[in-house]
Amino acid sequence: MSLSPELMSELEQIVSRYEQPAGGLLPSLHRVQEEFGHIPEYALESVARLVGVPKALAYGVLSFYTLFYTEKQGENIILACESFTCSLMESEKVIGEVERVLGIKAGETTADEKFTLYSVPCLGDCDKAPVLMINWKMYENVKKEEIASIIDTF
Amino acid sequence: MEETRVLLKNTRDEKNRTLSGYLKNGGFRAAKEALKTMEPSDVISIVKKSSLRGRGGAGFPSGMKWELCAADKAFPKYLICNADEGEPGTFKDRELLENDPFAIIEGMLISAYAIGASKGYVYLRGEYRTAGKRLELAIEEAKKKGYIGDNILGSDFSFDVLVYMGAGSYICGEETALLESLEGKEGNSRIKPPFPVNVGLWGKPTVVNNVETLCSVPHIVLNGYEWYRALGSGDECDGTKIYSLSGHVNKPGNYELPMGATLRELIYDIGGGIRNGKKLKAVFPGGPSSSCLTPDDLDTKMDFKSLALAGSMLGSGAVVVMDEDTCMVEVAINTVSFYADESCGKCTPCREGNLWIKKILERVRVGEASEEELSLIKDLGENMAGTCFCALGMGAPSAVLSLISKFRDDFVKHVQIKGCPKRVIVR
Amino acid sequence: MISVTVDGISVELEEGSSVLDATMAAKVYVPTLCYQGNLERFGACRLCLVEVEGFRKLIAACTTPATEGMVIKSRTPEIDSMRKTIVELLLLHHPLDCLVCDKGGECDLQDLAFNLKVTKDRFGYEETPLSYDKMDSVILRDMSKCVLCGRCVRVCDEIRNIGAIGFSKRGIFTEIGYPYNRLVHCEMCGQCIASCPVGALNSKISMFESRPWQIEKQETICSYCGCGCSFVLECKGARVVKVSSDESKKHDVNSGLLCTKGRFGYGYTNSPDRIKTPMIRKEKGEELVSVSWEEAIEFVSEKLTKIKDENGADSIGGLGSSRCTNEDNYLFQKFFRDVVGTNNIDNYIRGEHAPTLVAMEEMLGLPGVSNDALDSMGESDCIIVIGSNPSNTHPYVSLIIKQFVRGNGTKLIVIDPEKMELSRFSDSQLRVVPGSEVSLLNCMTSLLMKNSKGVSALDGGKKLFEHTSKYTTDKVAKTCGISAEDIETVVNTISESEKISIVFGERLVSQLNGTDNVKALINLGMVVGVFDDKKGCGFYPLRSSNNVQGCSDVGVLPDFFPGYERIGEAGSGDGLSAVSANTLPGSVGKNFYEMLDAALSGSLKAMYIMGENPTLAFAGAGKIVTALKKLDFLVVQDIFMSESAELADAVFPATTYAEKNGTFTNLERRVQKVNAAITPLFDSLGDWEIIQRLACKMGANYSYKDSGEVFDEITRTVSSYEGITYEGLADHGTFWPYNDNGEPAGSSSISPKIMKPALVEQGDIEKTSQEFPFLMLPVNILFHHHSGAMSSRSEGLNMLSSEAICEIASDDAKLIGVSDGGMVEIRSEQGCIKLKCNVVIGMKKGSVFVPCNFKDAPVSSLFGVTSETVGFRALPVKITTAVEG
Repeated sequence: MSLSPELMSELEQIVSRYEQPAGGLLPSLHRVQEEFGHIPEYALESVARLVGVPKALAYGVLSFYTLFYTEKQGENIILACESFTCSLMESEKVIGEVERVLGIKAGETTADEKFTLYSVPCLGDCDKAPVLMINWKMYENVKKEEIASIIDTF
Repeated sequence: MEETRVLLKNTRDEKNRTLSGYLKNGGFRAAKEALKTMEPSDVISIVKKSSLRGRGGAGFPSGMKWELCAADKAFPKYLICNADEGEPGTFKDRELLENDPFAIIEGMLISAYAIGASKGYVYLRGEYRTAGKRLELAIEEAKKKGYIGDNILGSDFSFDVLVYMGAGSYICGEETALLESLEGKEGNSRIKPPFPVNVGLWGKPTVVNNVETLCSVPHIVLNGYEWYRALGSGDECDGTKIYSLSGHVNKPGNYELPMGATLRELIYDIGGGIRNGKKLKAVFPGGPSSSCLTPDDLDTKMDFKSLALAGSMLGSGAVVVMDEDTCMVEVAINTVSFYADESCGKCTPCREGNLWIKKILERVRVGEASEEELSLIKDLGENMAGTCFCALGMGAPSAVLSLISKFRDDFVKHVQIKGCPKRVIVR
Repeated sequence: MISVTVDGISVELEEGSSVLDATMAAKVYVPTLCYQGNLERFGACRLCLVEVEGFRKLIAACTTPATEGMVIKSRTPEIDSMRKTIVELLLLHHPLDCLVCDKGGECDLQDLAFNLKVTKDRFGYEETPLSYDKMDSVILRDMSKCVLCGRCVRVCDEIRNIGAIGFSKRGIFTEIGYPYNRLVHCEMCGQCIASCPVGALNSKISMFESRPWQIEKQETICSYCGCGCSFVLECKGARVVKVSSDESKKHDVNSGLLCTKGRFGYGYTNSPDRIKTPMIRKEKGEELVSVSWEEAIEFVSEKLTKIKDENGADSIGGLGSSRCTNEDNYLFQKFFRDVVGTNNIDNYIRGEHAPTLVAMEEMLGLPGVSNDALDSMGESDCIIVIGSNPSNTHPYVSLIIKQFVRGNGTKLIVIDPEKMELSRFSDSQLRVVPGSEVSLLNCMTSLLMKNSKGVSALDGGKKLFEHTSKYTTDKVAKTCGISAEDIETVVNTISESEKISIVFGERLVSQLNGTDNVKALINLGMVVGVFDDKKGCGFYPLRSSNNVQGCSDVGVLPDFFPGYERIGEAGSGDGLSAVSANTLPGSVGKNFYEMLDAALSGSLKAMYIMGENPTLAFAGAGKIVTALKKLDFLVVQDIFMSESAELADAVFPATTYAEKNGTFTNLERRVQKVNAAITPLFDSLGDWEIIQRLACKMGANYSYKDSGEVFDEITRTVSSYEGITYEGLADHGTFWPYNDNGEPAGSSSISPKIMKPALVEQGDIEKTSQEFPFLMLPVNILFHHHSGAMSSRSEGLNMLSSEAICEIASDDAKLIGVSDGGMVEIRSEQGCIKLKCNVVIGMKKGSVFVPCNFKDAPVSSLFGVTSETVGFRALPVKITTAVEG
């Protein structure tokens, strides 16, 4: 398995924007994940070579950041804020409901690979707590009762 | 008390997100002024005189930072806009990033001119995709119109800006961890000294400034430092501050007030008081990295000095309000869990300490811990504050320690009745 | 300098020192886990907290710069309490299996818990089960014990420049790991084990072998390649159980860094395959039988004396050992010259670097030696590696080249057909057709002469330029199978560099045109100034075995007396003569290949082989075996019952380096002390002691009491060793030659005596044919050395690689009809071998890489040899599928 020449040349272009190739590591991983939904091993290998970082160290970087995934993810990714303000606004009920509706726990993917749920730290929308972020879109002042219908829209 | 919307003046104007809208609102006047009529040292001087202090949390004098960087002979220099807003309860930078992207560009332009940086990065937290898109559009437009690029506004100053997306890590908001991340590494804070102003990105002199800090710059340049200083409470706590008010208040939101407004003014005058007619139990004036305050502290001014005197800190201005029904054990567990998840894992006390505080608190929650173990948390917390590698670890236990010291009864009761007196659902 | 006080003790420090340096200078103990002297500051464990007057908080000593006048306190009740809590935290999920943990007794965490009296569990210990890595490797990882000090990760990246492991995840989930649970790029050097302060990284072969207090340690020199790395043999009784090293020893060749062979290849010393007693074969056709030393010596003495009396001294020949000590080899040659009376002696250099000896002598007037220490390469602007894969054959050379490339920005050019570890670090690699090097080197020489102006200074430079100009870039690109553009890029890189070093190895010299190759390389070297007496300018032939250099230095050569005194020249051999009882033979002896011819023709009747297994180690197994069988009498003195020993009429059991005192001379000309760690096993004796016994039996009166006395005589007979004392070698050895003041004379002393360019033409290149359509390229693998005699008898290395596997391009594999992991037969005109194959996607068609380190696939047998050829060269072969067994 290898990355397509088109993607490789795009990555080369991304990397060329930085003073040193290693600066292109995170942006390249973002681009790869945009393509595959996660970062497969062969892709990491190509990216690591491209930016001149040993694979194990590139993997260390990849696994440090929670928004990079090494395994296949659901079609839709739900980030449920569990942080300070949201928890004051009873986010645990919201997360519990999402778990119930999807039949999975936070950190898991549904069997039909349609949803992956993560409970995450503050999403920076605390005046509208509790919040969910689904595929980067914000759902604000979410009530437990609305969860099923929100999920139905996907 | 009323809002003083300087930075937030145009954030409700959707047109402000386009260059023409921004120009109509008076945008880039400050940049023109700076690049055309001022020497870089003049810009630094005015910012120094304004006593502008970093709005990201640490409150370091911005003008001094710039001066140190400008004085370094090494080249190239870099300017980083720290848009890795991640302190729980903070959402002020997102409002600026999404709704006033050109102000950030203008602030960066002036700052870069002052320090002699040829390249800038906006390090944006990975979740802020909307902000990222708007910012990139803005940069593109600014480039087309010559506000970014070579020989900006006819001067011999050239500057380029790139948006760099983080990927889910709170510690990358710490400026040296941010630099590591920009260099394609894990977000581990660096050993200081050397400081970024001398050895920063790729080993070159670098200034890292918060979004709100940079957005303040054009106003200072345009209106003068006297104007800016007159806004605040004086004593190096000047200008306006955007407070992110959230929690159990009637009107949560971002509010820009003269620095030094009191907690009471913010929570009651501006925020409409506590929800459902409840009483205030506690407030974190600077997010979970700060120590909590109680109703007794309501008249404390929310500026760097007054809050420090009250045993807490201004931080990023995340004012999180808790009503009388709040279980402080849950709050403590929530904050320490956050740090346990976000610790980079490098130094022993932060990596292990947060985890064990959490474990003990979880035992307290269900009444399995003894009262003596509360002092164990104190011991551990103090150890962390004294031994951790970076500010994250040092600040991590402060919320928990302040909660235990100010609401000890909450904790003791859990132990005594083997559960939560408020019967908060335990997940 | 700055001065500070630590606990009231004043110390002076270099500018830039840390507070921890200050405590160390004051000899005040401050605990650390993540600190390691040769790594960058890290500051993770937080144990080295100290109090500094005027500081608000405790500071980490390792990351805080010491400043003038600092007043440091290393211990206060507060510090103790902070440290204790940190240790408690580390112990909270650390397995408490110290009873059986391999690190028990030398574990930093154990010591810390002990020193800080961590007696109680205040937090609620949670037992973590042991979690040994499933990976089948000599490095056994148990991450349940890891304290995340990161020394392994940092040493792998910062020092070894490999980066096989890294921190992964974060927070409490942080672990030392590798991508997707697959370990790649790891060279199994085990430096990570050496760095680990706890029991998280272990050597599988050392586990459950010993406790630290049962160990006796002895520093000595590695017995594998020519680098001559220092290390420590850790022995329990008569058994070597571990190899360790001291990374603080900056003046050793290797600064305490070891490769996989050095660290894990010690097992052969205690191998059950050791020859245990002397053995003789009374009559041809009979079995070898064990006898006493007296009987064996008597037997050999009688036979050799008889043969000498009947056929003359020149009917006897000897092969010394590039693995034995200088003392062993010195006495070997003395025995032959003084007692037997012949110059028919040779050593492994004949199978390898003889062309280097010839070419350097002719063009530079120098014996084939490196003209500077390895670390001088750090001053080079550009390093050229040609015909060698040092990462496998000389790992330390590769290690420092990588350090210089990454740390100093040194340019690296690789000229070799094999894709190798150094390829990743090189600016360019020219993957030339084997055998076409003269063309390339001539072409580069002419281009470089054109580029530079100072060339006319070279005597004969004009002629050289005219000659090499015939080798035009376009023509040469075609001959060498590379692009003209690439040649020009490389030439430009070299032109832009001021100080250049050249490193070359067996693949350049082991060829039909080997001598011409070296000559062409010397031409190039002269043009770019590698022979200048400047740090950073150097010419480094990489000799494969630990003492190829010393073996030749002390005269185990048919045409030189000790010290490279050419036989036949006036005054030559005077030194040796003065210490010999008999007149030395005056005519040049036969080299090894000439001895084989003489044996086949019947004029050579007997051979004495010390510590060498020519049957596998030299090319041409078929001819060698036939010749050895034809002899009337063959003596083999060795540690193992080798293929050659099996043919012998008398076998002497010798000791390994671990049982020896003496000296080795590495490829830098550094003479180093070898120290016995254990007493001789079984009935074995040191090589020189055996020779002494035999010599005495044959009428000599040698009475050397120890190797020191033999070494003293070497310093009197080998002029370049004059002035060196045995005692003076104790620490990190010394470089020959010495000056008149009894000090090392430095690199200038071996500047070329002459500078004579040689006009060499491209000779024949091995061509594939319809019958033999593939070109076999012999390679050395990382995990074995030479013919594998020692490495294959070491458990650790066998765990890493136990069978020969060749590499074939996927397109070729389809054609042959073999799949990955299948068996193939590789046949040449002379013989055939069978081995497994690894099908490589993306490899260039038409060649096959075959490892030369396995006796089950003896590459030696594929070659025919004459006295003109050396070593394992590229060879046309036929490949077919084969059945296992």
